[in-house]
Amino acid sequence: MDKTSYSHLDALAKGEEKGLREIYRQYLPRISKLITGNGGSGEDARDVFQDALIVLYEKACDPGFKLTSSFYTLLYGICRNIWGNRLQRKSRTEVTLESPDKYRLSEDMEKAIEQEEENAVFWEAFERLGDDCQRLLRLFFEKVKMEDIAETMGYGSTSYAKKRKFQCKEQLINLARSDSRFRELGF
Amino acid sequence: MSKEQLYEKIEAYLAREMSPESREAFEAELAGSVELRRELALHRRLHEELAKTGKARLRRQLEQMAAEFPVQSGGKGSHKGRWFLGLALAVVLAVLAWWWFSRQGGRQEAPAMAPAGQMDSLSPQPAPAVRDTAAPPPAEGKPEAAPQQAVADAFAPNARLEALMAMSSTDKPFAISAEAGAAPQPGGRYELVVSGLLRTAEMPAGARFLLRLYDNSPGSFPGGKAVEEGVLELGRVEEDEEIYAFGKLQHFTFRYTLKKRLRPGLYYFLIFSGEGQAPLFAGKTTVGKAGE
Repeated sequence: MDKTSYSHLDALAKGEEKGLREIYRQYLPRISKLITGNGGSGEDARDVFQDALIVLYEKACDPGFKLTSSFYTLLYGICRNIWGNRLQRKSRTEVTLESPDKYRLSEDMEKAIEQEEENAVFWEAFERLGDDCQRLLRLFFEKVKMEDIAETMGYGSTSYAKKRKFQCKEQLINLARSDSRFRELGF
Repeated sequence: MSKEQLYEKIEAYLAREMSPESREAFEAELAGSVELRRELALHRRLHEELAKTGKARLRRQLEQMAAEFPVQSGGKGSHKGRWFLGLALAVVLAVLAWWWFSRQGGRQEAPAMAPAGQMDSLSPQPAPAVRDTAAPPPAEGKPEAAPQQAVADAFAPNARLEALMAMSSTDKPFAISAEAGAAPQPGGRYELVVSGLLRTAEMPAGARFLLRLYDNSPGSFPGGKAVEEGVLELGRVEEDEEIYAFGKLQHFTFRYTLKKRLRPGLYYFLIFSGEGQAPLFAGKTTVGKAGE
């Protein structure tokens, strides 16, 4: 596979600003055309593009992952699949987006998309929390000790840090549960 | 068992911090309860997913980058559909223009079938002609159609309340942090819970704190009616926070479940001391999801 495709994957895995900017510059306009040409808005296009990059990030972090097509072909296929799923969810009927076979995805990639669509419920709930809760939970999920969390957050006492952690986590779960997609997750 | 205790138990289990006996007892509980298994699965998924620091960083980076690369926002309509509509209008205009010039100034010679409104729209500038053809003028005596806006704006920010939120509260005797979360209820309504923390050097005797919830309508605050108002019940947290030389701060937590079930929209929650007119804290929450 060409060098550019792998350098894009590398930029995603490492979060390299320059490489990420290049991905946006090269491909966002083309993906935007795909989405707005199939009933979506500019905002939909941006969301689908970002979600597809997250799917690719997971793949880029997998040492066993090998590209079998160019980065763009894969990105286009993922965006097409994500947008098809969203249209289907909206209309509750089968939706097929016409495009050449080269954009058809493997079963493994389709599963990865589904997984990321589910994970998005948790990430979006997390991003709706206040800064304080986000910082606290980030430390907690990173398995930082409660005593250290209390110190980092300037709480002064472990018992309060624990109390606050519970409040924030409950808030997070409530936000996730309030998402209409949550029911499909089977929890 | 309280919810807090349940969370602690699940977290200890996931972190493998339980004694063999406690673990065995918890697994027996799990075997007998579908709900507990679901709760455990939810926490496990949260812990696994949200611990991915690289992914969290990438999500933030992508969000920032999106602002650098704006995409044309053409509403929800299909571009293909709009292209065809534009083409159809262009054809209609071309035919009308041809007819207009071939009749050589024949407004008075217009065929009887052509509606007067459409004929009047044939001005030399093509743009207004397109607009007039697509949308006929409103009937006499009726206002221009605009009432749809109120529904579409359920998630629009309220400028006054946003400004209130931006104001710093560091000088106030009560430091408050609060957040709200909504859970769906039957009938498309939501139950809202506001919880948070209040810190103060000294809690006056008989102090009362009120929570008022406002919707996003422009007249809701000040002067408008709150969606709901209630008294916060404070629970003292045992240990106090040492703030260097400034003495101890007392910690109080609160949790208020609104009685009203809310429609989807943007809401603001304000906390006041019993008699005060100026809020001690302002926060906002989106109930339901915009665009769904």
